[in-house]
Amino acid sequence: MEEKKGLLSIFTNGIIKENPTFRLLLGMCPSLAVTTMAKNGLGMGAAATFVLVGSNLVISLIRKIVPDKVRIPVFITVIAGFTTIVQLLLAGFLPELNKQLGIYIPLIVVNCIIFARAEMFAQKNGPVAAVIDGLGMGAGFTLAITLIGSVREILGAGTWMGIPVTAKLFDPAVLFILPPGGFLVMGFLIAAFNKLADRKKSETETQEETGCAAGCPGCSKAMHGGEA
Amino acid sequence: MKELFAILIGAIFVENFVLSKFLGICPFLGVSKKTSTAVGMSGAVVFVMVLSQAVTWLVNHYLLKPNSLEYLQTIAFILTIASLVQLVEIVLKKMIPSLYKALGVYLPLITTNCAVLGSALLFVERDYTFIEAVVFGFAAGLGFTLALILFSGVRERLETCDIPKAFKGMPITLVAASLVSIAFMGFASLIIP
Amino acid sequence: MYKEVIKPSLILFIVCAVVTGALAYVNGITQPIIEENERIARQEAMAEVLPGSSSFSEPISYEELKEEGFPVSSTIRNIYEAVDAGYVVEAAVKGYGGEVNMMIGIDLDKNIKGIKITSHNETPGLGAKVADEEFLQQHYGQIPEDGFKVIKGVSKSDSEIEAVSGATISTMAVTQGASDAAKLVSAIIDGVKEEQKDPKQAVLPGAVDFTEPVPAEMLMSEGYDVTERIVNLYTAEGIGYVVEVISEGYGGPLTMMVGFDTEKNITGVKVVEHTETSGLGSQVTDTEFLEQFKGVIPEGNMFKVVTRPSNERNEIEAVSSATVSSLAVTRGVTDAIALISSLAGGN
Repeated sequence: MEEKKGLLSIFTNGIIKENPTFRLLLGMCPSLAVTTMAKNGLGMGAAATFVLVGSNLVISLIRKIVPDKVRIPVFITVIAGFTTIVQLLLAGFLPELNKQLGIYIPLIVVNCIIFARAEMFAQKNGPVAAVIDGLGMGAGFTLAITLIGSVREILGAGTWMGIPVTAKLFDPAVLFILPPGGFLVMGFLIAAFNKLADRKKSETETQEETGCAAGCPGCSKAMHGGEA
Repeated sequence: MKELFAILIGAIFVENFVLSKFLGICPFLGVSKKTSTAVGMSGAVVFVMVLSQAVTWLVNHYLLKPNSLEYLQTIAFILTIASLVQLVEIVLKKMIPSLYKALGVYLPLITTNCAVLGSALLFVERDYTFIEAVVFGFAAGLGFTLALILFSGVRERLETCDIPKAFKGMPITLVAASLVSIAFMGFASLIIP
Repeated sequence: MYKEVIKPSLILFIVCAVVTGALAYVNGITQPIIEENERIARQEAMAEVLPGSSSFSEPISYEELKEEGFPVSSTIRNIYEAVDAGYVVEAAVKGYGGEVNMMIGIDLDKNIKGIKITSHNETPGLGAKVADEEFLQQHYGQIPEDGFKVIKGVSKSDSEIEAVSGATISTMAVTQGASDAAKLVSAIIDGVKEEQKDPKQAVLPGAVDFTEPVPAEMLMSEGYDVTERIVNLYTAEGIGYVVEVISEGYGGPLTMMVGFDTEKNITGVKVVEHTETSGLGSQVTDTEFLEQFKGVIPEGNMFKVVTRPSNERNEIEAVSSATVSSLAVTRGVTDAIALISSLAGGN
């Protein structure tokens, strides 16, 4: 019972409290780049989740036999391996989506979320917990970028998942599916999340400045330390 | 020559990595708080990008392509870039300590900068020649620099503004980035036929 | 030592090997599927742009078409033939965000039946609109005589294509692809090939069969007048001779063919290969310049290059600003004359 509750909280942790996109502000590039359509966000999220779960599992399994010295190259290799598998599978079975996501699929390798989870969680926990963590983080990321994709698609193209929804209400503003729209929607959604989190807990701005500033560089620093 | 010029102008303004391709967002948001750090980071990015374009092009052209190992591209590129960054760091530290002092702290951040891997993946997609790939890397680095430095100016001003609480920090930064990005859309018509 | 160096290296190596092995395995599974997908996608796209046809020939590539002598633009990738129905052309044109890949279906009556953008990187919401049927169908129908023209505003004729607003470059890319495909298919249907028949036949009309080439060394050993520019001599029994000459031009060697009939008249000169400055020296390959050589061999077996218009038989007007290239061609012809004269006279 105790154990189960632990796993559940690991899972939900990634979706809400430590939502990688809105709270930890990790993996911004794909969150902005591929979210011109809700469908793309969903696809990207699923692909990243696969890589997250896979690399978390493998890294957790081999965590005890990998010497600290080569930890980082081993992590990179494992993550790159899973990324390539996703890339090949997408090209084989979902060529349409693969074309849409383009180079952002191989770029999952440098997605900070994955490296950060390997370094901060999988490395220190057993395989079951690591997989659950991967699933939770993946779900959080997927939800977040599908949400961004939905907002942008509805406002910018007047459709959702390809279905026209606003035909009679207003003319879509193309700007939202162009690059500036990505930044704008992202900014407003993070602000909304901050407001929500604020209301729930009177947690102050401690979280705010972590962001990319502490996120990516944080994990890069870890990489650096490992190799030097 | 004209081709190279088109690549140069295109990568700096028209398809600016940060503002229109969303590559290198993390350092863009993370290091753009002060102009001085923005300059240091940019220097390191331009330097590494030119080098990594050259090396990954050679890896792709002489190792992967002839053996039809294209499916190992991602893994080969990221490992090449990671080792290259490491190597640059060691060499700079030993040979040019002054440059190392200026760029050193930013170097490790570059491995996970998707602009570097992104530009390598793009030269494959676009079938660039060696020279084109290197020029593209240089120009993309300059484009990154331009965005970063322009934006650090914007952000320094934001610091003193009265912003609603929920928007403090990252959200207002992103909204500002959106406006800078709109300005860059003006370059869209700037294309060399 | 073991713990410090060997063990980490070994583990890193094993991880790399395992990952590579796994990737090779997955690649082995997905590779055929990817290829099959591509094939099916191509088939479907072809059937879509040329409705009613389902079987297509193997692709004929740009290089093969070029070899055959069709007027093929560098944007053309492949062409597929559908028996009794028409052709599907695969083209790739540089657009705004990269290459726009497309397929164009054209029937045997030279009607564009359909265009499909198979992949592109144009801006969503702007340039990406060129993939919409609404835009593409402007091209459908009879191929216009002088190709398509992109205009901003309302199109008044079939050859005018209304640009997608805010995306003129993407529009031009698609329209160019359609124009190039139309030009190629018209030429194929009309059987028009660019002049690319054997250059020997071009300079010696009426000749079909030539002897094996006689190289310069052999000619020299037989005592004929051979300069270092002469490469080969071809004989067409009873009709004449063709001399292959390489002369040093402005940008490098310049290979040409000089034809003579049995009466020792120059029947034609053709530059086969050259690296002269495009637009300047390259004009020596124009018929206008080369026509000047045609006719009887001039007095003294020599041509003189002049930089003014001339009616003298032994004077050749240089291409303006390309005297070096003009001289190169003229020297080559002069050497060929010397050889031919010694053939008839000496033996």
